[in-house]
This record gives sequence, structure tokens and C-alpha cells, in this order.
Amino acid sequence: MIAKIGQLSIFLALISAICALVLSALYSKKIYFITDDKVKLASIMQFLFILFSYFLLTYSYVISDFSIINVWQNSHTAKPLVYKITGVWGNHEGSILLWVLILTFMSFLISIFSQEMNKSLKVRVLGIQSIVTIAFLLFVILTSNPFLTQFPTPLNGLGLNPVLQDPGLIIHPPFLYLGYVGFSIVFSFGVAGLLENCIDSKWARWVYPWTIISWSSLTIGITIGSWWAYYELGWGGWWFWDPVENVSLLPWLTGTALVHSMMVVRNINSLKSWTILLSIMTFLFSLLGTFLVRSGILVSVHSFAVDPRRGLFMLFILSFFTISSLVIFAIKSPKPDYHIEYRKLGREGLIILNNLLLVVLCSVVFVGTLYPLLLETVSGIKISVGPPYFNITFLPFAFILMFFVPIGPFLNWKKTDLSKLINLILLALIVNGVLFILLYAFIHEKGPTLAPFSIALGLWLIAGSFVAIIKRFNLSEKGVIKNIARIKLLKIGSSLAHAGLGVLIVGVTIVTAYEIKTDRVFELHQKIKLADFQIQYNGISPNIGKNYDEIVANFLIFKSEDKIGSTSSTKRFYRSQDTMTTEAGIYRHFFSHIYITLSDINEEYIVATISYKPFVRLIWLGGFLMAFGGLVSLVDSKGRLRS
Amino acid sequence: MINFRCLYLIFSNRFSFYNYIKIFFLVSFYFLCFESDPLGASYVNTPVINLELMEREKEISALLRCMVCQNQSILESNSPLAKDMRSLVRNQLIDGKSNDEIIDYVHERYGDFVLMKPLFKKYTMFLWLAPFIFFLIGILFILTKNMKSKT
Repeated sequence: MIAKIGQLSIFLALISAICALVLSALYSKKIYFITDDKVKLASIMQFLFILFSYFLLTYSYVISDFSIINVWQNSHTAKPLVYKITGVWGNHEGSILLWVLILTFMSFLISIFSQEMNKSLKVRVLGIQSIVTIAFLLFVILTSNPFLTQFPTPLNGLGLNPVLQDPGLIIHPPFLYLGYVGFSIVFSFGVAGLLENCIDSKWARWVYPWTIISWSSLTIGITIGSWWAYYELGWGGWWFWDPVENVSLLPWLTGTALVHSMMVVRNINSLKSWTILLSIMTFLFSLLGTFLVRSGILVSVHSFAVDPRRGLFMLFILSFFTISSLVIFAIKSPKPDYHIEYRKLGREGLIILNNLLLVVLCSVVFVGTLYPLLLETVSGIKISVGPPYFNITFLPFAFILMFFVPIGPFLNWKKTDLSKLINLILLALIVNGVLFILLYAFIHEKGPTLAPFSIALGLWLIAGSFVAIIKRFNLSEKGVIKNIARIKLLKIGSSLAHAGLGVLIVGVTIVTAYEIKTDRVFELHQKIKLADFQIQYNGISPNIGKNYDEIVANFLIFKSEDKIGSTSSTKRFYRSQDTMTTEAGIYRHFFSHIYITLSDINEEYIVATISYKPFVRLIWLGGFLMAFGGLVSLVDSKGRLRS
Repeated sequence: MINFRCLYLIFSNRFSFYNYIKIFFLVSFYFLCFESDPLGASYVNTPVINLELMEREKEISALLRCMVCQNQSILESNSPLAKDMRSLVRNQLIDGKSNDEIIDYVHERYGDFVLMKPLFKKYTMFLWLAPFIFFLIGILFILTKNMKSKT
């Protein structure tokens, strides 16, 4: 019964989406009896129907209704309640439904809020959003229906993949989807702007909050994903240049470029066609990521059940949006305003450089990820493209970018001030040079020479952003307090985001260059030295969880003969799936980690991989700081959302 | 791979007859499946080497792919095969071979797929040159736009 109602609700949502599309098309033909309220209503109905069906699916998970195939395949009565609820998006069908839910939620927000927006633009945006919704609803109904039922009803479910039973999974997909789907709004705005021919600084002001929200969510999503991979997969890596990670990086890179180029449109009404192209590309990369991951072309923990029809359908959606949006772009794109677009070497000049470098970085990731797939299909030759390739091709461009990032905010719009630019570049060279020499002399012992160089750049980013923030407070006037009200949080936010990038770079470099990792055999109560610490193995104990049994190996951590803490690493056996996972033991010491994974347990000894990861937490701190900076920039000095 | 179920049964005081039978089967199953040292103990037992060799072992391991894993180097992977390959690398290091010789040795046996850093060949030319081509195209694009705007 629940399944039937849920399915019906999805159908009704599809009908509402079609209504919204037709109504918006009629509205732009100026048919008098169609008002924008009707389009809004249709958009709101889409959301409510999807919300209802999503609620029903969650409800069936909670009550373990195994007559629904999806619930049976991915749940189990013994599963903790929180994983029953989050397990809804821990599988293909449910996660696509979550995607549609967020998509319609965005349309809902647009129809409820943004009152001051140009009505015809708003209706267009809702119309294009509906096309995206229709495409995905058809995908749900035709290939991945979560409400398919079976009879007779099995007694118990097959259970959720243990690797996915983790707090990281609770928050990682929703944020990632918020980012992906948020860029669909930006895409809709772009195409609607092209159709309405109204791309100017006003348009940019309307889209800007959506772009920032999506970008920040995507940043958080990727950061949490990296954190999750770090402690759940038990490899102790935070980024693997794995194809699945790479495809989430593609929209992030173009999205970052988009955030910057949109500032140019907003402030000096230029770089318009490029901005539109970026907004289209960002959404297409989001779709490409979904296609590659969901079709099973890229094998990972994300590719649930593989079904060729799904891949084919996603490919169809992808090509539909690619072709149609690029055709509209080619026909309708605004004629570039040559006189103001590229002429001045002011802040917009550096933003163009930023965009160029980000797009090149994006192309590196794109080629590196897809080339091996393409080569294998065309010629059957199998090659691996791993971290060494990306380090060689990605880093040079990233370093150039980081060198210029702190300089940008100090330049003015629309003004070539060559002496100022040269002075800033000289300053950057000196600061980086001094930092490099200091770091090389005092900290650097082993590892690549690139490490102090990269840390210097990271510190330069942090310092530059710090100075930029101080400058906003304008200390020369009567007092700091009085000026705080006048500070534009937009600028503070961007500086925070830049500082976050610096923090990230410092963390990444230190942990990559100075990590210590060894495989050791521990006998009971044996102490083993690791960096400045000693690790003592303190015996094993069994433990029974709700749906798993585990053996816990306990370790004590000593620093200069004083006990400073303990941690435990476990091997877990999930009863319902018959699979075993390794849970890493992580001891936190300020920003660093001691990371222990078990490879073998015996009565007399255990074998464990122990590693000291200095400053590893800076990586995620940096990621969150970037996202936080983005969100801060949305709020203006009076605490309102800036539109 | 440890015989987890068995250990669990021994440790948790559930020593009923039924469990005894279970343990018997689990143990025999264990010996049937994993006679030949699947624990990577061969790696742990390889001779301890000095720091310089250890650094080189790391360098080489990061460049070789674990053939059975999803996109992991043998440095990161904990799989038995990766451990075997690492002990192979270590033994060759002790024999006094250079980094390139070892990589060539592994490459000969496993093919191109084992190299995390693809070789510069005819069919990987585009892969290596693409970033720089894109960068040049981008710069040319911006410059030509700039020229147009001045005329």
C-alpha cells in the first residue's frame, strides 16, 4: 500500500513538473490568463509530492517493510535506526530520489523567495528547472524505481554495505548533492538569462547567492567525503586521485572559476558570455559525474547495483542537456563587450588569469580521469593514471594560481595600475623567497625540496588574506568597533576562503612530505617508537555491537615516557553481510594524528600499520574554512542575506 | 585475513557444544583456504633495512600499482599482493639494484598497467601534453581577444 502511494506521488510530481514546463512556456508567449503564480504553484506541488514520496520511503525503511525490494536489498531489522534513515540514500534508487528531492526543493525556494526578481526571468528559470526535474523523474520511474514491490515478503533484509554504516555517510551525500543540484539552478539561470536576453550585473546579483551556496555545499561535500575515506576505508589517505573523487572535483574547479567570474559580471558587467559558458559547463560536469559513477563505468563504493539501462539513460540525459544548452549558448550568447572585457589589468585581469588556470586544472583532471577509459575502449591498451601523473601536471598550474591569489583582492576594478601590480608581485616573490629559505633551513630535513616551497605558498596565502581582512577594518579611522558595521562581509568572506585554501595547502604538503608509516609486529605490552611518540600494544578484547562482532586491539600512546592517551583499532565482522571491515584507531594530538590499522591478529602478537600524520587535520579545517568563507560572503553587514 | 569468527567465539565466553563444533569447522575451513601464508607475513619477515633503502622503497612503491585494488599504489594498499610486491621491491633493493632497474623489472612482468605514472609513448602523448596545450590555447585566446579590442 505504501509503495503504491509512493509511486503515485512520484507520478503526480512528474505531472506537476510537466505542467510547470508548459505553463512557463505559455507564460513567455504572453498568453494573458497565465500568471506567474500558476507556474509557482506547479513548482511548489512538485516539491511537496516528492517530499511525500521520500517520506514514505524513509518510513518503509524505519518499519522495515521488506515487501519493497529496495528496502529488502539495503536494510535489515538489526540495523540502528539512524542508519535506517540515512540508508535511504545509501543505495542507487534512494540517492537518485534524494537528488530529485533537493532539485525540487531548490525550485520551491525560488518560487517562495526572491520576490524582487524579474518575473519573466523567474518563470523561465522555473521552466528550465522543470525540464531537469522531468528528466530525472523519468530516470527514476523508468530505470530506478525505489517503490518496486515483491511477493512473498522476505523475513529479513540483506543489510546495508558496512562501509556505508558510518556518520560520514549521513552528511556526505546530502551536501554533495546540494552542491551538484545547486549548480543546476545556476545552469537554469544561465539558460533563462540567454533566452530572456537579460544577462547583466542585476542578473548576476540574483544568481550569486545560489552559486555561492552550491559552491560551499560542494566544498563541504568533498571535504566530508575525503574525511570519510580517510578514517573509514582504513588506508589513511585523504585524497587518492581516484576517478570517483576526480569527477566531483571537476564541477568544483569550474564552480570556483564561476564564483570569481560572476563577480566580474556583478561589479563591472563584463565577461558575460564566459560566465554563462562556465555555469553550463559546471552543471554538465555534475551530470557527467553522476553518469560515470552511476553507470558503473567507474567502479567504486558509489556504484551500487549496475544496470546498463541506467547508464544508457544517464548518457541520454547528459547528451540532451549538453547539446541543447550549447546550441542555445551558440545562438543566444551575448556579444562580448570587447572594450571592457579584456583590456584592463585590474582585478578583472587577475580573475581572468584565475579562470584560465582553474580551467586548465579542470582539463588536467578531466583528461587524466577519462583518457585511460577512452584508450582502453579504442585500442584495448590498459594504462594507469595515478597520483604521480596528477602531481606533475596539476601542481605547476596550482602553484602559479596560489602565487597570484592574495594579490587579486588588493587591485582595483577597471584600472590598470602597473606599478602597484609589479610591486605586489615583487612583494610576493620576496615573501615567498624568505619563507622558503627559513622553512628549508629550520624545518626541512628530508623529503622533496618542493615541500618547503609549497608550505611557503600556503603561508603566503594565509598571510595575504589576513592582511586583506585587516585592511577592511581600516584601522586609520577612529576605532575598529565603529567600522565593523561598515565592513562588507563579502570581502571578509572571500579572504576567509582564500585563507582556507592556504590552510589546506599547508596541511596537504606537511602530511604528504613528512608522514611516517611502518608495518610493525607488536607483542603484548611491547612499546614501539614512532616519531616523538611511543605506542604500546595493550591486548585485545572482543565486543558485540548491534549488528556486528568486533575484536578491539588497544593501544596506549606515550610521549617522553608519559602516557598521553589511548586509542583502539578494530576488526569488525558484520553478521548480516558476512563481511569484515577494519576500523582505524586514530589518536588526535593537536592537528596531527596517529593512525593505526590492524592487518593481522594472533594470540601472541598482532601486525599493525602505524603512521604519524603531522598536521593532517588542517586539510579538512581548510576545506571547511573555504566553505564557511563562502557562506559569510552571502551575509551583508546588517546580517541580512545579500541578494 | 584472520579467522575472525573463530577468535570471537573463543574470546566471548560462549563455549557451548554448538560453538565448539562451529569453531572446529571454522578452523578447518581456515586451513583449507589459507594454508599458504596469506597474512603477508613474508613481508614482515623480510630483513630490516636501513633508512636510505626504506626511503627508496617508499619512492618506488608509490609508483607501482596494486594490480588487484581500485586505483591504489602498493605503498598505500594493505592487500596481500601489495605486500608481496613490496617485499619483492625490498629484496631487489637489498640486492643493490637501482630504482629504475626495479621499476623496469616489475614493468616487464606486469605490463603498462602497473605503472602509476604512465610512460611517455605515442598513445600517451596527448595525456601528457594536454594540460600545456590547453594552457597555450587559453593564453592565445585571451591575447587575440585583447588585440581585437585595441584595434
